[in-house]
Amino acid sequence: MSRIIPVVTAFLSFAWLSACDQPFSPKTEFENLPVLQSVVETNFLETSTWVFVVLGTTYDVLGFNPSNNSIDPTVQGAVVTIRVKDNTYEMFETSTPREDTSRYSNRLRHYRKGLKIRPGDTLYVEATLPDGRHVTASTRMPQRIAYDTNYDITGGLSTFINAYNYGPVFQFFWNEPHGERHVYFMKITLLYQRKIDDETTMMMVEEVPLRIVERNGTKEPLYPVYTFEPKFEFTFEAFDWVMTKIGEGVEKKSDITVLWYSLSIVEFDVHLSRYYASTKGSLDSYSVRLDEFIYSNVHGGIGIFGSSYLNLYELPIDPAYAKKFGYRAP
Amino acid sequence: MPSIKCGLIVALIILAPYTPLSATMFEGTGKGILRGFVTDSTSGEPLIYANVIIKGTSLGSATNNYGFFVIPGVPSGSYVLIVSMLGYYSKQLQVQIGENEITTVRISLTPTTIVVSEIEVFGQRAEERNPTDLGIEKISMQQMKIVPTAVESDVFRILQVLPGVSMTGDVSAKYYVRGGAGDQNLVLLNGATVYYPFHALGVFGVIDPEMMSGMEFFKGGFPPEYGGRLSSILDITTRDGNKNDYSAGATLSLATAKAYAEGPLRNGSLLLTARKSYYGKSLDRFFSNQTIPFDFWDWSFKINSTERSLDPDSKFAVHGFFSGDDVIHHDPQKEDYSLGNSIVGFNWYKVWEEPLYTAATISYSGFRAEVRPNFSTSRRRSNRIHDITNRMNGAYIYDSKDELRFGVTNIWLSYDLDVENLYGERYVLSEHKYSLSSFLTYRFNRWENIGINMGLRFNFSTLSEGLPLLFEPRLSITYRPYPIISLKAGIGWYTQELVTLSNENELISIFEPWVIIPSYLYTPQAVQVMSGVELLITESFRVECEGYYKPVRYLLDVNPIKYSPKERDYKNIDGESYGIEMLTTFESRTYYVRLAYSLSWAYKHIGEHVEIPKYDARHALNALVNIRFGKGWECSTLWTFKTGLPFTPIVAFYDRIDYDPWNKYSVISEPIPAILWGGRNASRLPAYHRLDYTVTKRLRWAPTELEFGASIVNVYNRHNIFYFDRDTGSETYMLPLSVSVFLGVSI
Repeated sequence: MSRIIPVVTAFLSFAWLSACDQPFSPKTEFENLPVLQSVVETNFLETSTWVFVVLGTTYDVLGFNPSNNSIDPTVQGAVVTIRVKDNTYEMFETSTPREDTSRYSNRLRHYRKGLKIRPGDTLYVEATLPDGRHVTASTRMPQRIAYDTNYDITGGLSTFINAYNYGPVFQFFWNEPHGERHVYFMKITLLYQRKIDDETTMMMVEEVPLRIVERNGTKEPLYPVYTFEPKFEFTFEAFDWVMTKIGEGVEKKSDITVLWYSLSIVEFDVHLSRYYASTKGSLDSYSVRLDEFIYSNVHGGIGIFGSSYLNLYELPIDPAYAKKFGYRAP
Repeated sequence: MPSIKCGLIVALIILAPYTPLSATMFEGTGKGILRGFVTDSTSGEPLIYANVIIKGTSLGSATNNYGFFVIPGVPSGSYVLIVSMLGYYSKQLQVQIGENEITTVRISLTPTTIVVSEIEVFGQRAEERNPTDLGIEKISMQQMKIVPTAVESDVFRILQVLPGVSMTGDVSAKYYVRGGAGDQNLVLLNGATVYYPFHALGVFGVIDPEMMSGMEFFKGGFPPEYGGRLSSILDITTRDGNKNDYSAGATLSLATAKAYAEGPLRNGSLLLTARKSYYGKSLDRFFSNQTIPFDFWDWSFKINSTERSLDPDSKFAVHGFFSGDDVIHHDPQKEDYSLGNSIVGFNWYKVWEEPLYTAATISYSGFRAEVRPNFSTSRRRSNRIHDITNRMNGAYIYDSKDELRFGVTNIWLSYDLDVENLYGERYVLSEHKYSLSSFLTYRFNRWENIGINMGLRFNFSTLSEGLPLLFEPRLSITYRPYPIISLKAGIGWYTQELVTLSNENELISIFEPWVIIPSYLYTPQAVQVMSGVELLITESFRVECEGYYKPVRYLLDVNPIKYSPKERDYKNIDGESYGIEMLTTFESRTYYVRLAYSLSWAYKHIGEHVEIPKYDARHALNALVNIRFGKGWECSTLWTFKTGLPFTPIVAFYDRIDYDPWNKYSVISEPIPAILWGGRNASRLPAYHRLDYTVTKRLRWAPTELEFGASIVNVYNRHNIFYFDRDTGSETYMLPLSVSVFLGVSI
């Protein structure tokens, strides 16, 4: 026993010492790459739109937290061009003030150009950095969506529907582009006017949730998030919930005039869809995945050059539905 | 065509015992056969791996999974038989072997926890001559109990202290054997496949050690009896239950409550076990203090009977095992999980008049896994498996001590899979398939210094279509030039048709669906070449050394960035692993010391590129010391050291846009920092090491037995890095210094 004690003591002493944190760096040899980022947005009006390109480089920081970087990595003096069909446009360099100056105190430098872009157009971007490095990328604008619904709402949307056939939900669906999965966002907002006094009427909006769910014993609205499925389902209960909500605290319900529902569907092109999914998506909350690579479609560097299309529609409201809640219809 | 081949092999199996070799086995030899069963004197439970030797001879054997042993070729006469096993007092008894006769004995051993009046031989080894047992570890309940545990005793944690077995962290009980992926390990429970053998995201093994009798673990080179996996086989046999008396017990640990009840039935016994989690927060330390609403349970039963009026040499068993894991958030914006196993089976063991032993099994094994996203952004995924397996194995022992083993297995397997990847691409499969396989093994035990085990596994009808191996030859040879030295070598071919679609980049994986290899891929195949030396320095001091080389073709690799339906979800890649392992054991009445070291390499060949899998640990050392102080006090210390695991390093940072479709200017809004990763698994974490300690005390106040104890995990609070955060680079550590206690009561 007397022999064991010194051995055990020596071992434990060694062990305690080795328990301390060892210097460890998860970094390896730094790689300097150009970073190009741009999302071309257009909408149903198909008017001229500003195209912004942010050009930068990768950087290194002392330690492992990139939030500690204070040296702006954006690149000035580059030549950036956008080609649409047979026309090539050179973008000009500019800057805007930052909303958050905790990391970088200077203005956000970028390149921009006003362009008229149509659905289905393919855009090519090329950037040549002052040090001669060259990056390219392309995107194809999504097409306009022609949606359909499970119930006929052309006469005005209401929940006075016999839900026997498709259940108590409004389903909005459309065809997705052949062979590609795109990310979609959808938002339905109720536009209404509220009479404050005899002279003042306010225009107001309220977003319709997807459905009402029960959480911790209370009912809460659940709003839509992105999906790869070319459809969204809103429950009748959600529409009724919004109609009730706009009248809460309003003594005279007839002071409210409901106008229409505004339906917005945003579609991403295939590259932006993949980028978005790789940054926002998860298979589940608990699986621990390491080294997940963020999608890039930029050749000669990293980043994203994508596009999105905003579809906007008006959904009329059935006057009888508005009157059920005591509101006026237009 | 398959039916002709099938007919031939069935005929061969049926006729094998009636070959001239067997017909003349006793004629004029002057020898007899000794066979029998070894059981626990208190419960009547069959004892697995008990040593049986005939004193004064080199003849001996060890009991199998059913407590059965056979010693052929014993010259007629009177002998003293010594039966011993760790944790039991050895027994000596007189046996009379008649010429050309089979002598059957039934021996019961008394546990060392019970004080007996006479001192008997303890722990004497039986020398099974020339056992061609490369890569096999036989682990009894007694050995399992001495390994310190974080919360409670666990089958898979015990495996991880064996040389050649690695893991990726304290959090997961998932194990990797000799460079093989996790799904290359087959877990059998009474002959039925357990598809998801883990609880709580992999923290625990699903099989409660309380229900176990023992297990055989083949790290490689497994015999033709086993198939369907490339790396390892874990064959677990559950207890029969107390045949002499009724008893019950309960154990409380920090995470679970469990209970068992057992007792005699007419010519047999019954065992019931149940376990339920009750305090999920005690597991928070496994998940970096993240509270996960776990709920898991398992229960099992086993009824066995030896109906003497029907057949005194047969034993029948019906068993069942059911487990479930749920993570229910009660929040519609969070996903829920549900996983489970359902196993029922019927076993029939028979000792025939001829020196023939057969074991027939029919079992159903079901597995279900589902991720229900509710209204979260998680992906919907589900997988179901229904597996009905019929198996008939037999062993025929010749007077020359040679042994013929044979068997037929058929599997009907149905599965459904519906998964969606991060990019919204769905993968839907639904199939049902049938397979028929058979094996023949001949063990040459007739020579004094040489043992040869040669066999062939035939796959007549296969589950997959990607050219699985139709014949899997296996060969192992032992040469014992001196009594203390055994030289061993072996080679075998293996194929695997059922794989999990898991992503190797997942350190913790909640969903690992099983599928048959898709038809557009080749079926994985491996060759295992092994050699080793075993030194039996004294009766209680043994040193083993084994080397292996395992090239693997057509491994399944996930395409993690499948962007369109045109792209394949999976592809075939090749791999290889090799290494050397050493194991030293010393055992006495007071001490049990086990020192295991392995040096290994594992690679994947992805086109021109060579990648190291995440579980590749170059050096691994485990030192286990168990001391029995007497009066029911016992303590165990385990020190583990491993080379740091591979990880993907950071090569740079960059600012990326956080795009919001409802914000027109989000491109020029404040960017988010992101990491640019280097080559996959190109660097290594710092070395992993940890010291664990357990002390237990057993008290017996008849008829109550009390066992309590405490475990200290990571005694010196080593900061072993599990991973580092992809956003901030901050380190997440494995288990810190933690203490757990347990209390068990049995009546």
